[in-house]
Amino acid sequence: MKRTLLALSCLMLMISGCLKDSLETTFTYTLARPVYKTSAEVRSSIGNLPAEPISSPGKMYLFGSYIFLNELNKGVHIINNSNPSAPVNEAFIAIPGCGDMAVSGNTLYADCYTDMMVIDISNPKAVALKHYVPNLFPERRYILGYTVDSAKVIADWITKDTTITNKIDFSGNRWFGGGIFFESQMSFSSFATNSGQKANTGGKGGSMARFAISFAHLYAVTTSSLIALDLVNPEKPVWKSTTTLPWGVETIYPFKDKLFIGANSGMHIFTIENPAAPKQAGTFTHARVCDPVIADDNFAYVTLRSGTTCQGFTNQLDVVNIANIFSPALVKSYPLTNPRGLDKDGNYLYVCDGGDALKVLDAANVNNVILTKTISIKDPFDVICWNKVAIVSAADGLHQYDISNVNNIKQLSFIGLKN
Amino acid sequence: MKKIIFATLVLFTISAFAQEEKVIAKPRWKYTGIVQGGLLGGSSEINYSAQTIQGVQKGPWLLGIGVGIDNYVMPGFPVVAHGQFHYGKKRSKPFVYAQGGPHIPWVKNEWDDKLWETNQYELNTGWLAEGGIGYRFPMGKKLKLLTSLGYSVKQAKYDEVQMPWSWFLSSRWPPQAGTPDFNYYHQKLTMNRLVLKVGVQF
Repeated sequence: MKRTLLALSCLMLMISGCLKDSLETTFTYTLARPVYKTSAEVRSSIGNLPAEPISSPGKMYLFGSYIFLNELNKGVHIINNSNPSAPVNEAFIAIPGCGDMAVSGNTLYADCYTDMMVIDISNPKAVALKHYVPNLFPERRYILGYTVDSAKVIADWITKDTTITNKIDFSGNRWFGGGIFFESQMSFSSFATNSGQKANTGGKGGSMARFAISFAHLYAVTTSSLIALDLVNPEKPVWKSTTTLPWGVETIYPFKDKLFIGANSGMHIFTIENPAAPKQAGTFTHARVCDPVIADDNFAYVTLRSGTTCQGFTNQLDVVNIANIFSPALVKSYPLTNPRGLDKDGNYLYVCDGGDALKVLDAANVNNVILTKTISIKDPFDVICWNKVAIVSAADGLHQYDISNVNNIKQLSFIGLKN
Repeated sequence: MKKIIFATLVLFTISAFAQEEKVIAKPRWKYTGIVQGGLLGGSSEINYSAQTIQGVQKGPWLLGIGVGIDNYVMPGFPVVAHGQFHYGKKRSKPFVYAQGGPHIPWVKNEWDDKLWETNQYELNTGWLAEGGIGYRFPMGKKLKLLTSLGYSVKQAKYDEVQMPWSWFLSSRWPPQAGTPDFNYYHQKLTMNRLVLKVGVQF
């Protein structure tokens, strides 16, 4: 009996040793060391360079017959689009740390790390820095745990990849219960006054833009604020107001006397009856995702996108009734793959969706939006429709399509990336 | 003598026919099914499993495909190839079994929001392997009661994406080129469990 008990005890000990759960982690990390430059050094490097091939296309801004295409963190391509079938990449303006821009008249407003640059582009081949607004985007001073002072910026990173593998005993909690945390929901808030002024736009930005110009004011959104600058003297913008917004603001879209602000928790509507002091009217709250937005007189079109940056699990087009801007109401949601920028021309919505498609949706009846055409484009990012031409910024370059006949959309031109 | 020889020949013939009949009666592959539930116990928790196996049986062998739910730590649907060998000729007999195959996670993505960081988990298909011993009891004409004790290993694979708190402060959309915004961890969680199962074979 004693032997049996001893054998059983030994067996139990052996089994308990085998029953440990373990967790093996392989982590590839990048050790990044910042390269600092003084703000003066950065400003001195702003100026013309010969026209450069596009390598990392970002946001677009349309003004007159020119397309201003951001080269992420490096500057802005100026593309003469007088003939959309044969656009000419005319010049490049080097603006380190630039990701957003807007144009009014002969003046380009572009971010440059924490500051905003005011650049005279009356001669695109000989631009001149006229003025700068310092520290307009203070949040960009904090980068990956590094904090730089007002006189310096992190202009580059020296990186080194390292992979480590580590195995530990795991006796953790139950992690994956099968729930999806962010359910779509709506709530409304309203505060402000009546609207009713006429439109005033300097050019046209895409739905992914963070800058917008309306009523001789430049509006810029940061992650958590809306900044208004007076452009009465275009070369010397004057700060007027900063409105604090809930965290996670991504885009701004001006329409008539309203600003539509896309944030990862909802769409905020502001009235700009007093352009210097935008007032919040209503909010359309949705699941936590990225959401570029455009609008017309009665409806706002919001694309919700999930992903690593955006979180959430929702990929759809929400049509929101904004007849009463104080109480925006969801009309209907339409499933999409992974939508990004969008624009509307007549009754048709053009949506950059998924990794390989520009989708054309017939939105004549908002209760029954129908997919009418899918144009194959690699990773389309944003689209601007103008004069029956759809201009699409994508991972592989800049595409232009003739959309005068939706049933026969033709590619007009394509500027590819440099090899 | 002639009678003895004749009798021997007759007996031999009968015996030969009898042997031929045995060959004819050789068992064939026949459909069988198993439905069973179990308890999984490991260092992290005790939880349940359920499984159905559809297969064929011939003599001591049972081969099949099993699908089910494994709810231990990271719930999922294992799809396994199952083999079982029975000892003895009595209706009540012991057996050994082994099974293995992919383990498909219940959910593909999950978020873990904390005040200081937000993690995203992207779950991938892992694998499961199990072996054990059991005993089969007859229950009426066709049904059999199965009990078994086994050792089961499940490996779940997932990628963990950590967004450091500073991301919200520093990042813009799209993320700045050249700046590492997220930390990616490739995780392999290996779960070793004892599994006790009870089921019915039909």
